[in-house]
Amino acid sequence: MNKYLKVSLTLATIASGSALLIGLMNLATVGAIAANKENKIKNGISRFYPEQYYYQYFEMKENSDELEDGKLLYPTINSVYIVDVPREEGYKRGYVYSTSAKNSYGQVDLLISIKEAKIDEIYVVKNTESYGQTLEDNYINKYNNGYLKDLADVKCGATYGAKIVKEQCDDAMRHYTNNYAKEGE
Amino acid sequence: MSMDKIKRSQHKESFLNGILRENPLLVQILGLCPALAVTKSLETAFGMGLLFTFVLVSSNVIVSLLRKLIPEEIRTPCYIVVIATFVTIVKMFAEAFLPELYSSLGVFLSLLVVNCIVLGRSEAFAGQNGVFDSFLDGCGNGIGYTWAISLMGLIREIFGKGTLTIGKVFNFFGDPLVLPILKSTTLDTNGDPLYDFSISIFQNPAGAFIVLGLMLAVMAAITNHKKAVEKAKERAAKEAAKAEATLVAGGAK
Repeated sequence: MNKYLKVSLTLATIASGSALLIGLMNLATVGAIAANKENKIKNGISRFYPEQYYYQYFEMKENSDELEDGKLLYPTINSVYIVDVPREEGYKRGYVYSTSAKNSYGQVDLLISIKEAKIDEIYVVKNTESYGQTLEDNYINKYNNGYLKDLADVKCGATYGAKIVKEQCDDAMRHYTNNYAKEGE
Repeated sequence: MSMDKIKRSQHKESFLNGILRENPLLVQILGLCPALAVTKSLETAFGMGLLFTFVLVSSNVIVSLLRKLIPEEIRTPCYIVVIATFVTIVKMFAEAFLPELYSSLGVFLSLLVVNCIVLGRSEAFAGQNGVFDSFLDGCGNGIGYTWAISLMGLIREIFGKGTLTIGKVFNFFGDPLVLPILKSTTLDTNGDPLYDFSISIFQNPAGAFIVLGLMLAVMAAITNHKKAVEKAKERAAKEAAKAEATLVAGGAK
């Protein structure tokens, strides 16, 4: 009996010590982790809108209106940021989509900016694709810098990665067309 | 030799063994999974090495402290709980203060819990030695693993990407510095670099195997050379002793 008690007590003590340490570390880092996530999104939006802006956003995947036959209408969209940039008369409105998609090579999370009914720029939030660098150099950056006219040609040396980027852009564009296109800029 | 000197040489051995003579990656061929996966760039590999060293040193110290209190039957589960605690702490730290590194390392940071080097050093060394020796052993093995994967990262980044990026993962001083080594950072009118001598296979898993294979070959060549030199010295010493003995015998006659 003594032996079992000793084993149980040892395990309980070590587990409690571990829990305490992890809890303390969590307390110390939770604020910084939340701030990092917010900063990443803000940095992305600031890149699209270097001037002063205001934004409101809503989560997509929690919105049941976006379901069709139990499936998400825009499966890659996480949230939409509606950005208002103040002008001398009124404001200028833009849309930024936070999207994510994955395949067997990894995951790509993006911020997609739509201005004047066109995908203006793509900002990579997370890219764990095996051919991630090729995907950014030969596809995303080329589109951002105007060397690629559209995203249709996914043959860039990282075809599967490019396909999920295109999928995300298509979802964003479809959502924009169905919901905001009439509002205009 | 005094006890102090013996202890000091033991401490020195505990520290130095892991760095070169018993390097966990290049001699013991352990910890291959993260070494192949996170060495796409120098900074990521170095970051992984630092976090790995912290986990190894901390778990070695705690295991060594608790070694007499932990019953034999639950030794391994206790070691795993200790290691998992430090891995979780390191994960939280990286997510909070080194977010770029955290996202580059992905699942391989969590996999440190079952890393055979960390578990192995706890079982084989820290569970049987004092705290200071275990600390030194952790430092030595950590440094040994860090330099080995950093070198792999450097080779793979230069040859695979053609550039060397500094300050992207450890982003404390504004924009990262990109050194164009084999690939130009200036683009032509088509959006392609002006020159590009990079070999993309070095960025792929196959490239990791090639680089590791080459590093192991160099390490083996150095070890073999050392052994050959030692053998030659021993042989020369034996021959000299034999010649001396013959001379002495001739003189006696």
